[in-house]
Amino acid sequence: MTTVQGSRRSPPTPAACTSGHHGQSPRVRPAEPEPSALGLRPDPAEGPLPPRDHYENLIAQNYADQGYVKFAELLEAGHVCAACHLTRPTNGVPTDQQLDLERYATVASLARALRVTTEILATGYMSAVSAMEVRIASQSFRVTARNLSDGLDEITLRRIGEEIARDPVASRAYRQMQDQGTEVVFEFGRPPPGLDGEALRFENRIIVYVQNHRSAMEAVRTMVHETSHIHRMYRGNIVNQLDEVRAFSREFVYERGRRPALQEREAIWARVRRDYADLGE
Amino acid sequence: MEVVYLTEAEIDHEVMLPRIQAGEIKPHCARCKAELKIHRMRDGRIHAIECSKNPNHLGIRYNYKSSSES
Repeated sequence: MTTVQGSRRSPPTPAACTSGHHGQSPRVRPAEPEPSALGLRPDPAEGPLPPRDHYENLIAQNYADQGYVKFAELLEAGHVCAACHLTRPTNGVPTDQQLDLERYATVASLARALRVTTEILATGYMSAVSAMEVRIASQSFRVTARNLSDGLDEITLRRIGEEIARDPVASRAYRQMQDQGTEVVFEFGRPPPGLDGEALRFENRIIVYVQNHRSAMEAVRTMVHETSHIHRMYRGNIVNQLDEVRAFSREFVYERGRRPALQEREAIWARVRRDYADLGE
Repeated sequence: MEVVYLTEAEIDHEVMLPRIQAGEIKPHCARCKAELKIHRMRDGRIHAIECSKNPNHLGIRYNYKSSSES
């Protein structure tokens, strides 16, 4: 038999133990009650809770040998933290009379349920927050390349990025899109015939059909053109010829690196009046 | 002529835009039910579509510039 010296509570004498665990002669014992979901055995209908036949936890075995069967039950079931906390109100290891395992099981189950609920709520909350962050981030930096099919498309996309970064007009146009949360889409898939790009006001998106352009610079030129439309749309301007003139002028500045002269502006106006005759000035 | 209520996302290049271009349908704004204003270029191609009541509901601009140049 194992005894621990210096225990604050007097362990029960071997003579007082009726479990048969401490006796030398083997005795027929009733079948052990099955542990609950918490790993704790319920109190038997009659008599004290007998020690287990075998303890995996040596410390639990030690306490069971001293007569603290219920406390050993907690340790064996893995409720080590709770067991330690339970020693505080009793200023020592609680005896079997002081410890109500049924009550403990109820409280522990409720606490576990509360913990699980809190974790689920916290996870849901964090997911919602992270989803919002992703949404905000995607709105603050929105460039999409669609239907990239081969290495050549990737090279073209890189050239487009370099061109936007290099050119001050393209950079500024692109920054305007970032400021107002407009998504810039470079579509590498099969384009509608003859269409270079489009601006969608409600969707807050511009689309550049890259396959209808001969170079990255041309694609950026279309992006610059569409940024003018979407920016004016964003400010509430109506569709008119001036809108087109502004867009072509912005393109001109991008291409030539300077503002159009008087004659060049007149040429732009003449072209817009000819092609967009149905719009008002 | 068939009246169709459309949003910007529903005006695609495969089905709806050719039907609008051909005048097969009469597009209306899905948000306010007002008729959509169709702007055409000199050669008949659509270059802008917008809600006649509130352009914020629907406003699309198409740019055919390069193809007309080349």
